[in-house]
Amino acid sequence: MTNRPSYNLLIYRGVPIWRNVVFIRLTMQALAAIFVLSIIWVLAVNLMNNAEQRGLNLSFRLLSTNAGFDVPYSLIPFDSSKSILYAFFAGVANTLRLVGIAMFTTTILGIVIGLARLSSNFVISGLGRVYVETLRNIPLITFTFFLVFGLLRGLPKTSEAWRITGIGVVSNRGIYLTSIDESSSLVLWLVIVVLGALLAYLLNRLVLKNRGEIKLFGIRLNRGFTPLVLLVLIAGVGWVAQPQAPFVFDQPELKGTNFVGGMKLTTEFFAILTALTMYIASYVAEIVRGSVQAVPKGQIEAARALGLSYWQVTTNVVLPQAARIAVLPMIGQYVNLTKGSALAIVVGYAEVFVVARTAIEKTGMALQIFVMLIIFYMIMGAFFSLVGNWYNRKVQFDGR
Amino acid sequence: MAVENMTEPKPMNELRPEEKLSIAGWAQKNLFSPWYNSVLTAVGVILVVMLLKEAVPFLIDAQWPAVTTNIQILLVGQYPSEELWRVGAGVLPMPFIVGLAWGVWGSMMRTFSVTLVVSAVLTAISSLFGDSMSSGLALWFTVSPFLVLLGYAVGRRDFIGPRQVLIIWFLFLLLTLFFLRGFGEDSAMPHVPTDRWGGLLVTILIAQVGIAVVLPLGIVLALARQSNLWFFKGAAIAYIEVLRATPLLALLFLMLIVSPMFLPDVTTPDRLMLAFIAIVLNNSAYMAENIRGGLQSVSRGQVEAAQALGMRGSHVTLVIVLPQAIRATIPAIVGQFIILFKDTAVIALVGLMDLLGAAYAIILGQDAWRTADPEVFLFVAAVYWIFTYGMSSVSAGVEKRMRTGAD
Repeated sequence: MTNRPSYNLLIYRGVPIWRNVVFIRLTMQALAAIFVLSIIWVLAVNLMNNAEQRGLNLSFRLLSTNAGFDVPYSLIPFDSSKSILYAFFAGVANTLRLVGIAMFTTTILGIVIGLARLSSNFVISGLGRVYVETLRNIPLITFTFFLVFGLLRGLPKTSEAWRITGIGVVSNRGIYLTSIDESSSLVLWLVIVVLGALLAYLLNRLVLKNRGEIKLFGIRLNRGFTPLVLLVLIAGVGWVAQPQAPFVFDQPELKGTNFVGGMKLTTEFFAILTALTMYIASYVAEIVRGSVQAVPKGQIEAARALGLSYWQVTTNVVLPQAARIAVLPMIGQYVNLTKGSALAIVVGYAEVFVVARTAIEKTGMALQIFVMLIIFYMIMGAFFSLVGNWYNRKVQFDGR
Repeated sequence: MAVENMTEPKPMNELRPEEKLSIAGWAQKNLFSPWYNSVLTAVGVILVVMLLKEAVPFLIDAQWPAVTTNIQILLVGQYPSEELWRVGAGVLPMPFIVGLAWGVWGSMMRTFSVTLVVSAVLTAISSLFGDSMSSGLALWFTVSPFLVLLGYAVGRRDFIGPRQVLIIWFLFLLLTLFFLRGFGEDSAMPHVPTDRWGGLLVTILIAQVGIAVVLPLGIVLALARQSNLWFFKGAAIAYIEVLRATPLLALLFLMLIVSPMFLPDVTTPDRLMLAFIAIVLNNSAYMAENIRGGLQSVSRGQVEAAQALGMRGSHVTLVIVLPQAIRATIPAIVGQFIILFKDTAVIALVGLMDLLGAAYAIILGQDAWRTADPEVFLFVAAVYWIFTYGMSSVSAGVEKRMRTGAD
């Protein structure tokens, strides 16, 4: 217990009130609060006056009235008799579809380009460098304009559609991907695969327990690899042994002037997806490169000194540590992707921002809809940062 | 810093004698070993050839007149032709100030300045072939490289330092804005409303004024967020978190559509001003977070030492903590400036005529160039690229200087 002098700061003798720290703090904050509140007050009064003069209704109840407009493409069923709020959520669903798929494609492309930049091969790393330096130094929207204009004009007619065997067709009426549908034998096959996975898991346990000393026909069994071979073998036998394959491929066919079958992506969706993927991938590539290079050299040298092979060093030493470094920047890029999806307005893919724009034009409820929009984006941002922080805590080393 | 460097042993790879490779040896090392690299090289070369096969015929057959005949719209928008001299004279200090900065900061600014000089020289030379560029414009591009060099010569002198350059830049920027805006109707420089401004001019002006506003605003917000006064802290957190979550595009529409509802009925706010405010709001939130990182990196001992010397609280922050924090975050600050510059392109989507907006207007508005979108957008992208590349090189230079500890 230290013997602290106890004094009441507000009536501390010897210091005049205007030099009293507590007093200064309270007054400064009070003045700032009054200033901010009065600005808000003035703005609110203006809003009320304007609303009265122009006959605007600022109630949020209006969001449940009939939309009266259509959403061109919707993941959830929508027609113009549904409410405005429902239209908004149709937009949200479309945004989530775009962002979800773009997260996947961006990550893949970004990793490929990032690894290309890390390559010791001059041509490959040069290509990666040109890609990254070109895209990162122009605005996303300029790139989107360039790509979308060129793409929408350059896509072929349905009669001259580009066919990529096994993957799909590309035409100006839309992109049709070969879809994978389940057949009657799928359930049985899945059961076989699950059993196979169980067996593989048990085999892995066995190998681990015996420290890799199990031999079969004179070959030493590996942990990880041998069980995987077993699983693939079982799944393959299950696939071939049944009279019908578990999946059927639905190829798009030209019927009349349009394609039938397969999974259709609208050209709008395809265009904005391509633009976002190509652009954000240049940032992801830099994250991949940066985090691999950020792994301390001593780690690699120590692993080599312990006799690990190049491949083992890469998969067991470099990549896990690089992944830790990359987590938070990657989350940042996914947030950028979410915000960038608003650029769908260039092509008119009906994601939430485009729906909001239409709704404002048709109903004039700008304020309410913008409040909804900002809440949506804040929820998305909070979601990403929660997931990011959770994952980050999980993979970081315990404090030393 | 310098002393520390001297005591540190040099890394081994710097002591190793440099390998001298013949061309064949270089190719062997970088292209063909181990075996799979040969495959990769082949794939890469095929890719390059395919790209060139598409790109070269396009570049030769391209309708470049779409750019050259519209160069005035792309550079200054619909600024009245008879007042164009004001643009030329108004932005003339800019190359000089770039040169000054080059002279004062040295190698950090070199690539940026050289990139701009080379671009200006190339533009001036290209005006010799073909008559689409007005003589005034050609003259401007001819003069500006010399102004950069003049600025460099002045900047090398001792009497001018970083602080002076910043003050000169800011004063000239204000002067340029007044010059472009003009005064009364009957004066020698009649008022030109901002909806006639456009092209690269608007892009550069918004970026510069934005940079001048965003940095101080970001510092204030970061300090407020770090303070232990709950009102300032709460207000700063609300500002930063809401604005960081909202896409700039949504903020832009919010400013243009919703903000007039909050203003008195008599005022008709300037659209360019509203767009500018949206960009500033968005970027200042990010800037505040960058600087907050710097504030957190200043060690507690610095504050304690300052307090022990009897410095006042505000003094400790302004003289001890803030300078160190800003120094530590210069790369992030420059990075944010680059983002701000690229962000300005978004205003094209609300019908404003910045560089991208002008390109959009040309393609959609002029029947002759309806199919010339690749050419026009390529040109626009190239212009953005030149500036952004220059700014990135500044950022890289700063980082390099910080790493080596030279001052």
